[in-house]
Amino acid sequence: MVRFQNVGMRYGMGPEVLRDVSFELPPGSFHFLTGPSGAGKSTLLKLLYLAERPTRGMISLLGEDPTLLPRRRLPVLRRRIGVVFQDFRLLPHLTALENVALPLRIAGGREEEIVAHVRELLTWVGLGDRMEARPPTLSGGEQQRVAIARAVIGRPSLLLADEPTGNVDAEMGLRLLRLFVELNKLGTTVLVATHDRALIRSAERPVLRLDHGELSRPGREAA
Amino acid sequence: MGRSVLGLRRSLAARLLPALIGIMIFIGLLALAAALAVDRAVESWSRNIDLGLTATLPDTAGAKVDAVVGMLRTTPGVAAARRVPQSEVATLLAPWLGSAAAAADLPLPVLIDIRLDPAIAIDQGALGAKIARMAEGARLDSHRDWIDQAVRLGRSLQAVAFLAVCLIAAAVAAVVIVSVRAGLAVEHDTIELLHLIGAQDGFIAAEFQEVVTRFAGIGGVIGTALALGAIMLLADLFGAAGATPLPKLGLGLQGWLALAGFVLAAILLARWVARLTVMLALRRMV
Repeated sequence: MVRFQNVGMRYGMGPEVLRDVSFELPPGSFHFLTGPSGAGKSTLLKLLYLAERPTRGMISLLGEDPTLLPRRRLPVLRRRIGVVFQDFRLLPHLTALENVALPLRIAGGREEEIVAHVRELLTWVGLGDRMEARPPTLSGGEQQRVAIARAVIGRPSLLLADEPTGNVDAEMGLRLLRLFVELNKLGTTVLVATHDRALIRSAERPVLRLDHGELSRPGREAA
Repeated sequence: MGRSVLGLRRSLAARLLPALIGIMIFIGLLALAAALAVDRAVESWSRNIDLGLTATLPDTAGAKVDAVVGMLRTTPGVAAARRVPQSEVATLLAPWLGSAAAAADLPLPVLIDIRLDPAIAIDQGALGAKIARMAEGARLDSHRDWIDQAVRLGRSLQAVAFLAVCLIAAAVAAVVIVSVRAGLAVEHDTIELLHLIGAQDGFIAAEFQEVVTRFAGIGGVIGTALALGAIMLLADLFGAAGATPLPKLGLGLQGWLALAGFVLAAILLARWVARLTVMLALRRMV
């Protein structure tokens, strides 16, 4: 599903922010990615959601080597990857429903199916009465749930989440984690980057720990 | 759900772009209308000249005038010949000599209007010599020198007008490029997001081209309305010019279709340039 071999990454002529990162995420696995601020978690996620290309090493992603793919084939690969951004990245002039529908519209889905599907998901994440609201009128937690709904609406093969529970209360955090777990049970490979130790403990899943751009061996957070 | 994903109405200067395109379409339509009107005028002049001659006799010709007219009417290749009434000659000369010319006992020449049969060729040199033998001081004028100069002037004006149309098309393209590049800069983060959730460049380019087409359409309607008003006004002014050598300003069906085609072409050009600009710019993104 995902394999990194001796991957290094630097921005421009700066220092390497990732060094010799090697790991594998088997299909249908669920991992946490943790580490202190500046450890390189966001950069690792950017490589995974194809916002950046590595400066060295090999990456295999959903059976493809993204560094060798021609640019025109990247969108198809990206549609198989759902991303929950730390800063949500919702489009402020679109409603919550339109934001969540965006990946399906881009993929060319049928409008009536899109709307029905989006309504169902937004209701599930507790935003059934906020579908027509625009992001600036939503609370941080509501925006985060819209961002999560957008990431999972296309049933991605790989789900990446960057601090997905940072702006929600503990109960909603667990509810969202359950959504990730449900998706994982359906076969989606999940990687959640988080500082939330309680969240990591509650899920009892393998943890990848990054520190100063280097990855320690996978383990589990002690309960 | 049909809302523009990029919200480009803000970032593409919703008022400025239609206004600029409208102004350019207005100027372009005037230039094209001028070129087409000159073309029709030149054609009309040439046709009339080819079918007509004027014999000018001194005012002292007297009875020889009737003899010349009689000779002309029996000449093969001449469809008709008539003496132009002196009142009509005075009217023709009025713009230069004033309306009192006829009453002032000025010696006005005698004019004979000759209509030619296009089916029969005529030796104009021989005919002119024959008229000169019948009435001393008479000459035959085909107006060819004057019309040749007028045609050259007309063609030059046409060339300048077409150059102006081409420059205006280039200006439309430049305005769209600048506007689209500004939009790309403003919407950079959103475009990056769309890429990350799987949008092809074509999806993003379609957003730009639809908005630019809409703006160009608005500009086209405004520019066309203003240009039509100006063309009608000029046509009235030309029509009121009376006996001056100014041609009647007319475009004909083909001319009006050409103007409509120009507006459509300008809108399609804006649309195509918008798409091309976006596609080229996106190739540099991840």
